Amino acid sequence: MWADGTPLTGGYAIAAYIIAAALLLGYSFILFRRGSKAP
Amino acid sequence: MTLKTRGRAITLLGLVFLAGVYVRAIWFTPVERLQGGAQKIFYVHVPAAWSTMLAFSLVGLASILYLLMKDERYDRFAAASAEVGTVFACVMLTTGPLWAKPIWGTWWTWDARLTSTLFLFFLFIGYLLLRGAIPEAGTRARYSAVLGIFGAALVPFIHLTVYLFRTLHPQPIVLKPSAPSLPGDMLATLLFSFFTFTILYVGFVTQRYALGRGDSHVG
Repeated sequence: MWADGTPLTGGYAIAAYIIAAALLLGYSFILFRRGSKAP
Repeated sequence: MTLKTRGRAITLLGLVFLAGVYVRAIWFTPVERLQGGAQKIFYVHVPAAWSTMLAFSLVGLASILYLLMKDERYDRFAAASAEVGTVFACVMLTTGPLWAKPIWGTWWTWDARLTSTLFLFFLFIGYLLLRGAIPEAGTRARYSAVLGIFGAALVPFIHLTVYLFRTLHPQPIVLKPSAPSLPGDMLATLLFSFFTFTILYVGFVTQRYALGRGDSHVG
């Protein structure tokens, strides 16, 4: 817990943000690649 | 400008906005006093849930229109929206437990909201597998339209689960009849994130639809 009483739970938020970005960027990349291969 | 290029441009815009959401949520939105930093998952989890429900609702609508009009563009749109909705569902179903663990003390609980959402996710995995398993386009479109309508019918039920059942999951904060119960700074970040996830949905679906148009074998 921080000195002002705020719970120290930011690590979960960072993990969630990284996973969300990885999924959305990953799918963007897959669509870009599939689009480049398509006629 | 082709549909594919348009979809790519919208997606890129959405990704830039997503970076903006992260910056605003992390550095320019106050920390919630009781939950601490974990509450910031809210700005990703809720918009991801919104995009998932939007995507699956539109699958149902497009499926109904396909069965009525037999226009294959509706089927292609339904296929695109189902795939994109499944990606957003992955975001929703991974960020949710990460928020639940520090706040509820458990990664998962089998209550009505969480269980029905997981069921919806599996149903659309089944929808995508069904599309891949049927080579004949007309049969594939008809069967998957029926499944898509059943899937979309779950969406309003899932929204109402928090009212109908005793559940750990909180009730809606924005999508409810009364005014949003959220401080201004937090509401602004949430609305910006809603907008960003909607842009991403449009960009993804446009690209995916263009792919389906170029190759009739793409389910």
